[in-house]
Amino acid sequence: MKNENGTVIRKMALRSLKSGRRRSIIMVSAVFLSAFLLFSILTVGVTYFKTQKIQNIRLNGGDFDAVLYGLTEKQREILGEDSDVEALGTVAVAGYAIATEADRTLNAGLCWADPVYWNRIMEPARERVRGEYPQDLYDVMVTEELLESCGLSDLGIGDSFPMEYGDAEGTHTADFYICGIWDGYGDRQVFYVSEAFYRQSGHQLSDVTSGRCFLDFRQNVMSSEKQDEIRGSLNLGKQQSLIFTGDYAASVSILAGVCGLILITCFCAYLLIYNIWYISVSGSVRYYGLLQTVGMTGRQIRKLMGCQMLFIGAAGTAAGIAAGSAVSFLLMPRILHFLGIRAGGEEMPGISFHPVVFFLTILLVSFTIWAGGRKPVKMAASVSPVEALGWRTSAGGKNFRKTGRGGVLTKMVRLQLTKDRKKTAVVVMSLAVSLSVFLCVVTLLESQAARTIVSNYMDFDLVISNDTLRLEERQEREQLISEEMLSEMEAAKGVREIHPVFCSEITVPREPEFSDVWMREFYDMWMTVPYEEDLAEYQEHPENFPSMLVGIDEASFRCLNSTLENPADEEAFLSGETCILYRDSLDFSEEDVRGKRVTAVSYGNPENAETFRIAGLTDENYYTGPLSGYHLTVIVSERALKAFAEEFFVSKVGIRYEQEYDSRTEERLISLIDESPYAADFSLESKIGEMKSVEEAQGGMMETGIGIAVLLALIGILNYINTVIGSLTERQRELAVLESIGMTGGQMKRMLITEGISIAAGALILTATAGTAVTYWLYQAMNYRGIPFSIPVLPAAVAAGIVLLICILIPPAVGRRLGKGQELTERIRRAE
Amino acid sequence: MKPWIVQTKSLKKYYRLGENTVKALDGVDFSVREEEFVSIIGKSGSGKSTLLHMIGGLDTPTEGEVIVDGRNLAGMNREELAVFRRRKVGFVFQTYNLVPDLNVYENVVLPVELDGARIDRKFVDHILEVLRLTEKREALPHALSGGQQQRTAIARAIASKPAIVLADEPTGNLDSGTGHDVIGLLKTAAKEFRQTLVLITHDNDIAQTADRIVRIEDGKILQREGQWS
Repeated sequence: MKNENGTVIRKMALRSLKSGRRRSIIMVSAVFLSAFLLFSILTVGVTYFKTQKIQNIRLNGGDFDAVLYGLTEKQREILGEDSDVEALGTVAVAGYAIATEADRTLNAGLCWADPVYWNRIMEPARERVRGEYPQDLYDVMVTEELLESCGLSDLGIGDSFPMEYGDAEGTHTADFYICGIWDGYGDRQVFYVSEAFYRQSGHQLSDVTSGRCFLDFRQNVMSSEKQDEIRGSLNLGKQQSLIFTGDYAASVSILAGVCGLILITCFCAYLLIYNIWYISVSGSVRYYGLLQTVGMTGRQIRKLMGCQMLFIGAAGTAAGIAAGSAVSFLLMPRILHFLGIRAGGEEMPGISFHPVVFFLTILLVSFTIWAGGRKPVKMAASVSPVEALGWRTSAGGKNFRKTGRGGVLTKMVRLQLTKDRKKTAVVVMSLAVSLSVFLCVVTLLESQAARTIVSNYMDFDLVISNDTLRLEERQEREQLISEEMLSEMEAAKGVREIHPVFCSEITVPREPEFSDVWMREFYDMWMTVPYEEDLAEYQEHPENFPSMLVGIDEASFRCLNSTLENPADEEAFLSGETCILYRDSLDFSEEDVRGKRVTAVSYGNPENAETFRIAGLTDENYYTGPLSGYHLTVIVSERALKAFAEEFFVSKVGIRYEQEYDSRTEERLISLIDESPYAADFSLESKIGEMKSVEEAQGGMMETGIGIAVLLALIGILNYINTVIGSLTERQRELAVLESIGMTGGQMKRMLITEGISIAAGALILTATAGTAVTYWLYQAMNYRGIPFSIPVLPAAVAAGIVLLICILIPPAVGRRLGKGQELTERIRRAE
Repeated sequence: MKPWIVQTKSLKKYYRLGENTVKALDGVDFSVREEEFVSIIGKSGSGKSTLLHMIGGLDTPTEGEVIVDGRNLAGMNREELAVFRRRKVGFVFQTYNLVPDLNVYENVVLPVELDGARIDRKFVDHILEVLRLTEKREALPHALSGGQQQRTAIARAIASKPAIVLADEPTGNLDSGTGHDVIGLLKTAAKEFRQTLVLITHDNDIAQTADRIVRIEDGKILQREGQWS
């Protein structure tokens, strides 16, 4: 017969929650913290990934997932029919700028962007556009930065300027009309020209040197199998390549990493509730036993406990989500605003609400409450009233225990930690998990830091290049970086070391063993005409097929050598016996060329020749000659180059500062260049400048990430405090008994501190081992930039220190607070 | 005549209970001589446990003095009281209050260990023998019967050789036979180790075995029975 007792049970549930206020508060706090953790971390996390997406769009210069070099009509058709492709935009290189009246060494291209690229793919990376995209033959769309670098900073929209440029048809001079100016991210050193200009330039979209096809796929995640499938369907030519952007290529692995991170955060929240819930509900078993003695059935007890869980769960979850919302939507943006975090001149995107986060929080918290309460509920409902009255949360089973050794306090600590191993394990694990998630987040953040992303060759702070070496006319090339200038640079305050790269033009005569094989592959890869067509000319006039001899110093060699598959012999290289070749994307392996000999002949003096044994192949393009298109780049020691070449230049110099990112030293070096009459002919690659542009592209990404880490740390600490309060409340009687038989406050403090240290040590060991392993796995899954794994020592050490400090300070403080204002007898009695 | 070891002077303990004030002790003058065995009897809520707690330094008086072994407890802080308890007083509670994770032996020597003193193993073994606990020295409290647990609590109370043993209804949770047995052992132990024994009981038969009986009612001592022998 159905018994209508729902109202009574609900009333009882409410009343018992009110009477056991302290316990109820602890339980609600645990649920609150979990819901708060999940909601805020996931909400801010979603924002983090949004800002990261913006960063990638800005760094790539557009919103695309892959780029195809060279696009045939057939391929356009295939991609057009592919339902996975959402947008296909093309950019065609229609020539290159040579000189304006103000600058004879321009370093800019002329490109035509089709409407899809300009209006859709490039749009998110642009900040503003004035004017219209070029329509007429000599219309150009430029950036102010480009105008400045061409010495045309006075010009604006509506102005014209004469410029010499080159295309597939040769070199020309024309008056260009500025029809628009844009600004934003991506390559800003480009004159965007009209379709009409491209059509008459002689360049073809199908040429890999001209055509760029940008693809945006419908799906956010694509497996590498699918990527290969698309690659296969395009029947790519030998010179063509389809390159997926770093984050898209690794999208499946990144998704796995993100899921892993979410899973660990969920696990952290689960442990957070579980421990307190288990302790608190188990502690109430005696109360339920009492209810049985007055006739409450097991079913009614289950219902009563279910009611209590519902009340506590609902209150805690609602409060947690409310607090999470307040922090995520109100506090976080204010903090970021206060810190002046802006995304490229605009406010960073607001933190947005995601319904999935809301439901995931409720689902996980509910599941944890159910899981944490299941065993005690079962126990409370199944034990007999007498058993329940005598029930204690201690390690059951054993009736005897050998007398322990060691000091009494150590023994008590050991017993406390081992009597309920599961409980201790959960406390240690919850601390370790929050510490590990923190470690994970800061490691990932560190890898995203602008300083980490920016990495120059040999970690140079500044690389100064001689742009006159790009000039076609040999007599116009100047020794801009003279010995005197090198000495001045080296002596400049703040400079630690300089590494000049020397170069000299050479020819490599035809011979069947090596140069013939190399040239055949070179033509196959890079030239539009077959090798056979030029063979006779090469035989007759090798001077028309220039190559470059590059001389590097000892330190540069060591660095280069460390990147080789099989390092070369240092002595042989330095003495000028061997050389290293730049692979230039040709289909050669080291085995194909190692041991073969390459002969260098001085350009213009066939009498001066030298033969080097090939010791290796490198893909490092830092040393390639100033002009692309050299048939061979032969890297030898500085000594060998100077001994051989009659005329040589310093093509570039890499400079490292005493202190990385030292802007004062950089200013000194730049003023040194500015003093040169050829100031406009130098080009600079500055690590500081690059870092600034990455920082700008990142917007508030790093700060959002730091916000997550701080939230994690805060919630981790609150969790531990709550756990300690819960645990010590349950142990109040035991502590009061110990005090009654003579344990002093000092001894109690020492005991609780030792317990805290043991827990902290356990958590730190777990974090250092399993936590680091998980961090490593997650890091590698999300590390599409291939940045070496390194744990940021300072935040990790600070976190470890804080954990240790909290574990030392909190237990005695809580113990003192719980016993405050109560007589000892009262404490013993109350706890009964 | 033996000197006084416990003296209370105008001892008062008032509690606030809502709007009312409960006078648990209302000007109690009570003294016990060295090696004396005193029983305190009275109804529930009469104030006998409060008096015992005051003597043992577990509770602080609202007014008045408690002098134990020549020391006034009123002037002691929490730390000093804890040290005082483990050196001078042995407690036996009605609910035993053993530490559940320690075995019988560890519970017994706990006050000695807390004091940093050397454990007199022979003495402890002797106590365990007297209290018939030798067989159970490695048993955990939950594996013991009520009587065994209370005997362990007695052993703990006398192990540190305190001057005075305070027992608060030690037989309250035991059946009559076991209760008498425990009291017998408590008396024997106290006598053998020359300790003063103050015992609260509801059981008149047990009370009669004391050197002196003190009746307490509404926080005041009513009469003294028996005499110093």
